[in-house]
Amino acid sequence: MVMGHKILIVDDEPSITVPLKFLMEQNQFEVMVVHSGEDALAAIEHFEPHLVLLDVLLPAVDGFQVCQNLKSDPRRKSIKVIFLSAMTRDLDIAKGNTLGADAYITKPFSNADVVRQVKDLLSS
Amino acid sequence: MKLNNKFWLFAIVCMIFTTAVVVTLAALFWRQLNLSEQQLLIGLFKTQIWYFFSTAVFLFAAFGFTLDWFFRFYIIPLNQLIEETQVMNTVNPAHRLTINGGREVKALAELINTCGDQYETAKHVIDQTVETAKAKTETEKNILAAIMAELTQGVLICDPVGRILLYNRRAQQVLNKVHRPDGADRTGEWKEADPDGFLGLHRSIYSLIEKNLVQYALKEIQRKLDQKKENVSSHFVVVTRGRRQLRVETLPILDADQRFAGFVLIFSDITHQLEDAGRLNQRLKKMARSLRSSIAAIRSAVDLMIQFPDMAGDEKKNFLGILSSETRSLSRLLGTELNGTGSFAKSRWPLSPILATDFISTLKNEAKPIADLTVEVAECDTRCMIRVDNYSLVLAMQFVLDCLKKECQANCDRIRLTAPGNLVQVDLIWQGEPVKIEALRRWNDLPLAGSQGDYPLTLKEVLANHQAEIWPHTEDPIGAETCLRLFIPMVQSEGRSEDTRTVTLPPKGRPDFYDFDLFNQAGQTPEIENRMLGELTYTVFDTETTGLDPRGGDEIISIGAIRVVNGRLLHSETINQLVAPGRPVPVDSFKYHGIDDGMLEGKPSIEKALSFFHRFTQNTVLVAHNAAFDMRMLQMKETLTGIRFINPVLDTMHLSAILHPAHRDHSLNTIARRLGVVVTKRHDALSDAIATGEVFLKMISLLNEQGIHTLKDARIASQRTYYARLKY
Repeated sequence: MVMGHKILIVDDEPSITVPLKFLMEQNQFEVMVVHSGEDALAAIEHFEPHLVLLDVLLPAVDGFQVCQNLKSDPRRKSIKVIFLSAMTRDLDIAKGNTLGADAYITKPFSNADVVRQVKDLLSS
Repeated sequence: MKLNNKFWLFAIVCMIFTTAVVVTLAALFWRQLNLSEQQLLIGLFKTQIWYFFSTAVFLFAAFGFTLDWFFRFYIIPLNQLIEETQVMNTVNPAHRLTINGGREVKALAELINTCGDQYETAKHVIDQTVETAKAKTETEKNILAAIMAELTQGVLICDPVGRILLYNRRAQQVLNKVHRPDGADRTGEWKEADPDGFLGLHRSIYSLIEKNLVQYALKEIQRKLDQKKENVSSHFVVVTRGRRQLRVETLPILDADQRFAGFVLIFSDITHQLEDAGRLNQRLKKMARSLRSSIAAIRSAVDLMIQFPDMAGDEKKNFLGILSSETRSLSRLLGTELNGTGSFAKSRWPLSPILATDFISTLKNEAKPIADLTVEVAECDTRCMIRVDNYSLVLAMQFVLDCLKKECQANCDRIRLTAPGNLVQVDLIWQGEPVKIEALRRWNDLPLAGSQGDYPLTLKEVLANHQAEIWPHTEDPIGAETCLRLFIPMVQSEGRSEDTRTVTLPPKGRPDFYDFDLFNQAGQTPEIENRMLGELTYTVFDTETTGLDPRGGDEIISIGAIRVVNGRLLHSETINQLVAPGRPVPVDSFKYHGIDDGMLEGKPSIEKALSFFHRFTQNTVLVAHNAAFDMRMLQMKETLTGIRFINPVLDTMHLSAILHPAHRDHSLNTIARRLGVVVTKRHDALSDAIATGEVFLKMISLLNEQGIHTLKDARIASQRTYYARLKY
């Protein structure tokens, strides 16, 4: 059962975070939205999400750095990470996967795909 | 010994000898006499002493005058006659003897002059015949030279050790900023942007291009030759100090026995192409990201509005707001960002296709000083090609290995090649902590210079040129083994992107318009002292100064110099540099050189001018007239500039004293006149340097006739001359 899981959405563009937040809430997830990598690292500490929807291009600390930070910390490496990015080259996807990301979804994405990926990962 | 001294020595010896003979005869005569005869003779001598004394004085005086007359009218004129005949016979056939001596000597001089006239007439006829024959060849030569000069690519030919044998105008423009296409370069003046090296005949190419780059290309060519490949060229990219990027194609030159005899470098300036491509790439990337983000937002909002038609009014308003702003953003993107991208040319950093396994093999060999790597290859076969600028990418990987070792104490011992999907992955593996992305990004901004010389590109630039990236990766779940992964795009099909360049073989005969004899110079690095005067490279120079007292504060205000290579003055390789002296120019010295304070305003300081001149004179012998003065002027600035001229020096004034000891005047004007050199403008540094150069070239053959063949011979002979004792 996936309901009640916490999801952290990290993206600096409100036009992405607003619909995503609505989508996740409609699917019974507890959602928190932040707009920078630094805020994401802080939010992980107190919000303790089960999954992070993470953009790559963020001001200061970017999504790759957030992911490396999470996955290299034994306490938090179980937190699932899905990259949601407009960087779509094979190289970018390989970089995300190399850092231990659980999925890499390229923009534009379908809401259904995102929800399915989230649910799959949280139920695994 | 000077002739006057010889004369007096001879006179004294003669007098001593004569006196000795007279005294001996007198002694013998005296012993023949009995006592009464001796007393009679003593008596006679005492009473007639003044007669005896007068006779003796008269005889000695007559002897002395005769000797002096003989020297003045025969011995000295004959010596002059020999020297001047040598001049006529060698460097100046137009010279005629004007000897002031005895009748016979005059007659002999006239006879020699008549022979000279006849010789000149005959030579004139021969010269005309030769000129006519040469004219035809000259026309062909000019056509070829014009083609070379107007090539849009820079062409440069070097011998096996990198000495430049030929270059065209375009190569000069691209590599040597001293020479500019607008003609402003003709003065050969120093400018801020000038590179460290100079492009010039017989200079080393390695003063302009890092030696490792060329050596690397030559190694690659050798490998291709060994493998009997059809295409033997090799490419690399040079980034000049002025950040100009030159694509360089290297081709070997083989001699008739298929041995390596030199190489050709063909330059293309690709700076603007690459800048355009880089800007276009950045703009396209940015546009693609914006486009994807906007469409993602629109799509998500629309899907949600369809999926939840009964959503609250505020939420619906929010989504409509997103739709409105994102569609406006898309319109703006199409209206502004897309405009202008069409003007960018499609170009990229020149890369050559290579097997990924070959790249790994090269990396393993080149990285040996830093790490002893074991290679593992998985999922990567002979179809696994990548496009690389081998030199820069290997350098980048060496740089990363070095950073790992020094900064992270990570001793990388394995290298693994895999190729899942469209990317080739090269893993540098070690035991320990992974590298933080922050550290990698810091390395990205560092130039790759370090131990590999002066390579100006950063790690990030090299990777971007290859569309590659280096990224951290944790190798196993425990995290004990970790790696840095180089991602590099795989080439989908090998193709033949570059034109095939086959081996260039030299023509059978001697080419007509450039001196390829430099290929066969005896020995590449013999002791300079033992080299023949005719084969050395010289910088002939002159300075103009505020006065004649180097120790008393007089300063250099002008330096003129010209190079001499293979017995030729290179009029395209000169310096004519005014120098700001930091003090007023005295009126007295202005009369000589015509340089006033106004002309020196804004000119470079002596530090900059000497630095420029020092680089110009590298690996050459310095030649000057009255060099002691010019060298003293340069030495006075050693402390200030830290520049020391350690080149061997020859002085045409000393050499003239060696060649013509019977002449007293060894000024530049007199020597030039004697040797048939026309001096156009005296006391102009460059004109004087050129005149000195012409005089020097004529002197070399005269020196050879006197058995002075090497630099060492000339130096030792110079030291013996009176003028070598001059100090300033």
